[in-house]
Amino acid sequence: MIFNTNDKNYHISGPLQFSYPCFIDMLSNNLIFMYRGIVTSDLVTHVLQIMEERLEEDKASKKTSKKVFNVMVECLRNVYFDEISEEKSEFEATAILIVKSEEDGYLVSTGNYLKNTEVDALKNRLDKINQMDGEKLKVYYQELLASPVAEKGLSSLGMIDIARKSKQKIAYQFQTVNEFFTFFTLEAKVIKK
Amino acid sequence: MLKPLKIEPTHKTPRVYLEPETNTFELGGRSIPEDSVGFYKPILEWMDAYAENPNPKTEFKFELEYFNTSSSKNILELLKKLEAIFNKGNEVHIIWYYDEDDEDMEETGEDYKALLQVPLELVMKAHY
Repeated sequence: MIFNTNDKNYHISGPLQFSYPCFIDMLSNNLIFMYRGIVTSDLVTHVLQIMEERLEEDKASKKTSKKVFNVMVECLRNVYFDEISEEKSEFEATAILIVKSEEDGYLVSTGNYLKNTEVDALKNRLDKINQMDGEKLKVYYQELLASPVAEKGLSSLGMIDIARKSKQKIAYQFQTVNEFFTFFTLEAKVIKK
Repeated sequence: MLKPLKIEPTHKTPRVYLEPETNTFELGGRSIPEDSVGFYKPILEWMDAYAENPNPKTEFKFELEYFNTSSSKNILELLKKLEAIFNKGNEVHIIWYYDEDDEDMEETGEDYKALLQVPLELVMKAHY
């Protein structure tokens, strides 16, 4: 963080003191969008609308915007909370979404809590997809598309879609929080074109 | 004759115009609903009814801008319904439009083409 609390011009205290460091932090990291909370259906609609404007402001080409938008839709699916069919605590349903504009591309990142018991299966699916080249991804995509099995949450079909559209490996991290939960971070990069 | 099915587009769902009388069969725009099964159910049911007594020639236009992977299975189901009409000896022509700078939509069209026997033509829309 750039902000220096020893600065003699720094007099504000209480909640007021967070806005400026947060602003500077977002600015210096080129974060064009950040959200922390529960990702519901309505929220997804709003986020996508805001992102369209943000990408336009950031002078992203139509081609790049489309890819970022697509990758975001699939990433949000990963943290989407279905009010009707899911039973989760607020803690489990809370997620983070960050979009960062870099020199050569956009980073779309999501983070959310998972049960420790869910980690291995998810990691295996991600690793399987990350090992595939473009042609293998295509074949696997077609195979899953034609399969009658419906997947929930971050589906393998969604992961392949992210990998194919971003043309990059999917970066991920699992951080163990306690004996029950792990924080899962997913990151996809769309190269500017 | 079967009543036409018209669904106006929203930020998350596509426009759907299915009208046998004028030979109009179109699906276009965005398809990113959370509940894609719920959205496509009436469309697939309409197609089942249409398949009972289809026009001698059906030309179905797909003009999608974006769609999520949960819609992709429903779109395949819709294409399979068209394939069934084709397999019964009717003329069916599917046109899959994509923007000239949208390689992803072109690629998805190719994915569908690989999974179907019914003629599917990929058509690029040029910018003027």
